[in-house]
Amino acid sequence: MELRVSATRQELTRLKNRVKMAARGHRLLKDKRDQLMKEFMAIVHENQRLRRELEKRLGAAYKSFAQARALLSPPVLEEALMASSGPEEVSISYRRIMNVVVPEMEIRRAGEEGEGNAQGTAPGAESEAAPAEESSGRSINLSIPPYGLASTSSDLDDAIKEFQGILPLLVKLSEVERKIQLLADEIERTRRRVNALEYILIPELEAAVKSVEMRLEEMDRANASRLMKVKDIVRAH
Amino acid sequence: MSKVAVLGQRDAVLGFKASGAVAFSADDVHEAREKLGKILEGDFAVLLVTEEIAEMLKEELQPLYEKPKPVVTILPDARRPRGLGMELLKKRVERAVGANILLKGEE
Repeated sequence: MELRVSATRQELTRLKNRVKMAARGHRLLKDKRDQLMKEFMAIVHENQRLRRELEKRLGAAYKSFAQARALLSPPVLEEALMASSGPEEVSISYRRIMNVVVPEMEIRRAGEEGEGNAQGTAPGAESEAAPAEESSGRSINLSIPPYGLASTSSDLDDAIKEFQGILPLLVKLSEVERKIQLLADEIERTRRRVNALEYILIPELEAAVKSVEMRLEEMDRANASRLMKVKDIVRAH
Repeated sequence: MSKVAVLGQRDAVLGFKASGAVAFSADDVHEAREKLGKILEGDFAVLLVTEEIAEMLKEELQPLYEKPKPVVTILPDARRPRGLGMELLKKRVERAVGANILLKGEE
């Protein structure tokens, strides 16, 4: 599509400025895209690492849990599970990557700050539950589980420990995946803009500049020849 | 402060009860849909879904990807490595980058 502009010097200056502006925007957006890409790839790799680790650990957790379940009667199991879960709280904060707002989530065992409702938290569990750190998921100390040791097996202890260690990782995974999604959207948008500038707007503007320049030159020549003609006529008299 | 929700089949979810997440068990599509509604009413930051449920609720989960909360994540499954979660990720990367440049040197 061609831009329809009037062939005047004023229009020409304006068009030239627009080309300059578009080129500048294009360069900026390209830089943004590249930087986003860099962040994106780093996060994607982190995601893959996390997923792989989780696959392994979830498999192990399910296995020890299945063993525990085979040995325990459902009510006992249910009770033990209820007792051992201080509900986890997740706090979300936000960070900006290249003007994309991404969430950062952190997990915290409720009851530590005394704000968690005591639902299902046995009295002994509060003092023992260490802060669940993001990477070293095993930091929750369950040396004395808050359920009856006599009626449960050690498989259950393992399974619960395993699951508690996994949750922070899962929260991390969620955070990373959300980041990927948000960044992917932003990259796509930026890429579209870059391409629109590079392949449509800038060529169009340049074509318009060229056509205006040619029209102006043509008008100049027409004017010059008219003047020469007029001169001839004047001289002939 | 929000919590973590887990939605999946009964046996898949039971273990998470101990982990501090709030477990919702669902064994068929209707139940899953119902539980999902409950989850959306509550204050959850993260929603973990097993692959099976994610497949069942594909359409219901779709709009959630645009929302800030809860963040929906498909649980990795040891039995089916590179399952649905990975697939979704791959699609997003492809859409963003225009080509699947990822996952190459990783295999």
